[in-house]
Amino acid sequence: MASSKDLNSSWPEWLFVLGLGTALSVILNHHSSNGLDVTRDYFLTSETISLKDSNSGRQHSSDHSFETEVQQSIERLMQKGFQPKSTAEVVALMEDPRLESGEVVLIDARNETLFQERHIPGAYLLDHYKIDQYIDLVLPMCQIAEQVIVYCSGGHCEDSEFTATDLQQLGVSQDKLFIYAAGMRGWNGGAYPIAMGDRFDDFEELHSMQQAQETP
Amino acid sequence: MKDTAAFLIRVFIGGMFIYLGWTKTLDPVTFLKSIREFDILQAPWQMNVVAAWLPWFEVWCGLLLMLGVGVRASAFSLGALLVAFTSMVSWRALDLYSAGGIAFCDIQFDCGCGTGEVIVCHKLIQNVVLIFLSFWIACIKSHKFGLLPAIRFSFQSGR
Repeated sequence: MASSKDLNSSWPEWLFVLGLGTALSVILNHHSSNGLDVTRDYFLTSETISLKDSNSGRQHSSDHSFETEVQQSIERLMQKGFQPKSTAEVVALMEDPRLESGEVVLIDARNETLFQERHIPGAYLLDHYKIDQYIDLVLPMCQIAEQVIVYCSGGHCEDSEFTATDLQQLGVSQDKLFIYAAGMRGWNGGAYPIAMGDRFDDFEELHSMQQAQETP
Repeated sequence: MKDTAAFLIRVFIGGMFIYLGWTKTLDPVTFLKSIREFDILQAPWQMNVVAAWLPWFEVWCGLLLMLGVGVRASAFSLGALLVAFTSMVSWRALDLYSAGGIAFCDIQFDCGCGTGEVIVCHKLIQNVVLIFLSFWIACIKSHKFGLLPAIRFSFQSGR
């Protein structure tokens, strides 16, 4: 077995493992498309939602329904000056021409993988954690829109709030920023129309779905 | 026999950390959110540094263990990380347990370990075994079956 003397005398090995490992980590994080910007405040100095309130920790699932989570989120968002949107209001948008014309902009604040899997038809992707990749396309739309509705996974998910704050900081008036707090979980629960893949053919799919529903 | 066991354990722990680290490098944001949920690090830069550094460092140490290069330092580093992870998972589980309503071993949550949601008791037992094995590997004076014996030799001759 190695003695403490052996461990102390193996400093080149420690330098190699810790030093080179750390240097490689820095380089790989910097060059990775998923890499983090260590100087950025991703959570906008927001307080962490208590573990006992969060949806992690399964023991609370029985007495801590999704509706309660949504209600708590709505209260939190309203305290921060954001206006909530209900599922019924977002469902009504599916037949509202303002969504297609851009007067109402729907923003999906989740990541690209989740967006590609399923999103609310007509939504633009704006991932708060990779905002630089999407903001050039989305910000002009938000600036001219009458309403901007942001959603994420729903319940205690905070990404919609972070994204709405990003937009506010970039000059979008808080008066027209709304958050759909039930998010994708609430949307999926109601079996409403969904779109997959990129946004560009969402409306074509949506119109086909609506026509199919109207056809007896 | 001991050499073979040590080699197999190295490959097992190394492979496991490569997998766990790699999953985190593919989605560091989810890992960053897990770090935040533990509510231990407060400054944004501290959370970012850990979320950016740790996954790649796990992959690096896992690779070294498998290749038999810098085995003692990499096994000791992984052991130390496991001690830190285990303490954090225990603290969080106890926090949830103190809220009442469920047996300790029924608690499950995503610990940010790269394996999704886990049952706390299973995770703690697994980690204790891994800590023991990592430190055992770190304490072995010389390792056979290194895949890059030349590099290993240069460290040994340097002492």
